[in-house]
Amino acid sequence: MSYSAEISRTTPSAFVFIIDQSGSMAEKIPNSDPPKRKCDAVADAINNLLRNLSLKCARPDGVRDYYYVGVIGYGANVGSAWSGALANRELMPLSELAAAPAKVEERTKKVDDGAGGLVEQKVKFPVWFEPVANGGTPMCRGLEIANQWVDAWLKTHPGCFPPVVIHYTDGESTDSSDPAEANRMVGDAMAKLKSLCSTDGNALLFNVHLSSNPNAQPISFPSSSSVLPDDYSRMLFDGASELTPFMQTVAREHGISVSEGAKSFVLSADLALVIQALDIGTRASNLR
Amino acid sequence: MAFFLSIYSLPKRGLEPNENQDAFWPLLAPRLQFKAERSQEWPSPTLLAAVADGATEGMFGEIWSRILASRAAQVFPDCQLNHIVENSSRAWLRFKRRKASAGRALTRLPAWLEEPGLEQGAFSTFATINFAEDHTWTSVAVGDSCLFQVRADKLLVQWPVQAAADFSKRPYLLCSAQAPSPQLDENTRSVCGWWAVDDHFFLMSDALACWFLRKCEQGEKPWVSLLNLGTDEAGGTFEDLVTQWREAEGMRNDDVTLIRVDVL
Repeated sequence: MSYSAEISRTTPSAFVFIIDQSGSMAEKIPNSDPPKRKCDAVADAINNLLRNLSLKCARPDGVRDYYYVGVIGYGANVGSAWSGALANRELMPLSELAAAPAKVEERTKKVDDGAGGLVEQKVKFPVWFEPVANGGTPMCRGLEIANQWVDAWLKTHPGCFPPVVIHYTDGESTDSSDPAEANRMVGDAMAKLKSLCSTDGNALLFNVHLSSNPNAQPISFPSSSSVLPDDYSRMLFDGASELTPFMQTVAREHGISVSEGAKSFVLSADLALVIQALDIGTRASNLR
Repeated sequence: MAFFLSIYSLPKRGLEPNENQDAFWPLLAPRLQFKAERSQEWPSPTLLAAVADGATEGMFGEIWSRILASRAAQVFPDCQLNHIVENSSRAWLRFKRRKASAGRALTRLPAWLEEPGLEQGAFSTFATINFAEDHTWTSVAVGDSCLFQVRADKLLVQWPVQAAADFSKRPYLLCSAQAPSPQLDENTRSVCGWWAVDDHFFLMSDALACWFLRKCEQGEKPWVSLLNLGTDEAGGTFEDLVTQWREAEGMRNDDVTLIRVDVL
């Protein structure tokens, strides 16, 4: 149980994203400039992550299948959330993903002009996953699908580096009309997901709480829930895995102070933290 | 005065020889680019040897590491890293432009992937050793490729990494898009010494260097196995030994390159 398994084409690992697509994800991220909806921010962050992951695994002769990737959305619909030709696909090899974005947009980014200023540069931005914000928050159903995907994956890859599951949500589960019962159900579903394991360790669950509270203080990877503002945050904290030692190292590279026992939980009113959490959750120490 | 050079290079377990992202100089047998073992006498009073370990996370690691190793030889006997980097970066730009001017894709990748890959550049560690006629040697390194000097069955120099545990740290890497900079200067290590007849020098990429240092820390003499290579005492080919070290002695499954220089 050491989180040290090699990640290679013959021993790939997996990423699963679980995305809250409920109606409240159409709200703006507090204090974002320019103003950005939560669903747009999450879609951009995931598409950017998939682009960078493809880049990391690309060789002149093609993209190597070091990873299989899946995206699950829950809101008005629950299930695979890929767009375009990949719609309804489950975990899929990175090479197939790289070959079939739903579209490639042209965007601009600011880059160093070499003279102390910034200039705008056009970049191609592939899109696999579109922003959606509609319906309630059937979180347990989303987690249950992730459970099925990860369980099936581990049956065929028993020695792999454990799958990393990254869950974004801004709202409370609507799986039950009783909030306490809904929290208990979500807690059970997360515990079940984390109990799945390969010979190298248990599946790792990241919870990213996209707060709507403009006064919410961003918190990254705490080791205690006492600093959290409400039961819902504490439930997501409790449901998250502990950061592995390597993830702790990456977090420190991002300038985040983490202590032993730090949980893979982020309470965020800050888009930069959302992106940092992705990097910390998906960077490999042992890519071969 | 002359040297005897033995060069060994293997890809990660499960990969093909042409997927090896380590590079070295001299090639000795350019037509046998991906041959695992080669050796020959070097009948010259001067010699430059180089190892570059292309990073896995980067689209063109093997191309950049080959450029670095060969460009080090081109600027030899000038061994200033800044000059090697400038020369190598120009070669990298020519590589990109040549392909672009040919009007064809550089890779089999979609354009949205190829363009940022080229823009991002490639990454590699790098280490050289330069032997001069006046019995001095100098070595320059960036990252965790290592040099060891053995004299009379004793380890004289281990450099630049001092402990096996230090290989867990992320090494500084030379980027193809990088110009000489204060940051590069801060991360460049150089050392010099004297060589004598019957000395042995080992220049190697990180996985083998980590194994070597760990053996030293356990009170063993890992250079004995490396000196036996090619003899009846070796107990197998370099590939056999690396396989054994990976399976039984915890050597990381990485590309492995060794340049052994025996002073005759």
